[in-house]
Amino acid sequence: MAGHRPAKLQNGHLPRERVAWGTSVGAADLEYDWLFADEFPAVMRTVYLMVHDVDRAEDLTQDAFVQLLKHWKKVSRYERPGAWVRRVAIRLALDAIRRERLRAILERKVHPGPAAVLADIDLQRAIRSLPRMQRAAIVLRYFDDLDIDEIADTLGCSRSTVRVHLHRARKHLGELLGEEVTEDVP
Amino acid sequence: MSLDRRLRDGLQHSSSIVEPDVRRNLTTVRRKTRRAVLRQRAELVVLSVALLVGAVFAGPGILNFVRNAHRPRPAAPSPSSPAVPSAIVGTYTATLPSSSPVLRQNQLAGAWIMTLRPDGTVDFSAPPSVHSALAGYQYEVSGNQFRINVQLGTICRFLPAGTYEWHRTGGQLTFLALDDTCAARVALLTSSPWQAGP
Repeated sequence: MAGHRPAKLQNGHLPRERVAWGTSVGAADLEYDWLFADEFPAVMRTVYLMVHDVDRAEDLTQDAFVQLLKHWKKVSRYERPGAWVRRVAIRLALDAIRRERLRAILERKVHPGPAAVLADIDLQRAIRSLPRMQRAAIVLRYFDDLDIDEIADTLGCSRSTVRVHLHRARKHLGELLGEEVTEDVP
Repeated sequence: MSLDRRLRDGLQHSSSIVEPDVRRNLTTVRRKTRRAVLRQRAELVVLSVALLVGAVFAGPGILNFVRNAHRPRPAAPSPSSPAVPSAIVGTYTATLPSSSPVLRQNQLAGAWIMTLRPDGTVDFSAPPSVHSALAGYQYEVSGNQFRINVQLGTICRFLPAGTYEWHRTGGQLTFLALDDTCAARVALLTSSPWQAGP
């Protein structure tokens, strides 16, 4: 993972401040609070890079952590509960993008095509123009630094599909941004 | 700068505007979870109550339906049914004489066919002079008593069913009026013996 996460535990102990957050001080609550403090900002940043709306990203990330808390008894036994909640958040974000695009179609909001925005396009707009799965693959690869296997696991698709998504996304972004594209996905 | 480099730097930079208040979000998530759990429980209770109410009201009906579905259907009334003795079931013909004033007055003289069915229904096929529908009436047999509600169109309308004594001798069926206020029906059944059909 990229180094954008807060420090985990202080000398292996839960910081005093965190203990006071929860309404209950049961061991399971404390573990959840630890994970929350570690993962929430990172997951929300990933979601934000997909939906490009801070409030929406916060809502979606909260919803993912609600799911985590509801299933905490089971998920806490997993090797990487953080990966579970990240997967849930990304799927919620993908659903949100799909709904947003459907709404845009229904409301006849036609997004400008690549040619129309080529002159002043920036990276964020270029990423936004990608199909949702390509967008997710790019964010997971270049922001979360996940490898192909991890992206496939998170998106619930095969490795080859992830490669195709990344290849097409990079080609499209290279054209829009006028950047050199190396042959292989790094 | 390569695309990959630009993507890494650009995404990192874009994400830097996201600095969530973790404490506030944790409180919100716990509140949302409590609500979700409560809602889920409420839905479960509502569903259980609905199922219970459904079981109380619809259960006996469903049970009966299931039971009846597995039970053999009762056979259609057969000639051996005690309500309609096989001896009387059949098709009969009679030629009613125009000499009878009642028959003549009601234009009932002529050739008749009477079909007594095992299910207790009776149909008449009347001479052309009779224009009324004479099908779908009922008859009952109890011992040697025969009860019939045929109305002969408007002739016996509003009059109660008539009761007769019946006898079957060989291929001949005869009736003797016991209690019938409809003179035309009495004449129809008693003026001539009814011959069993083929």
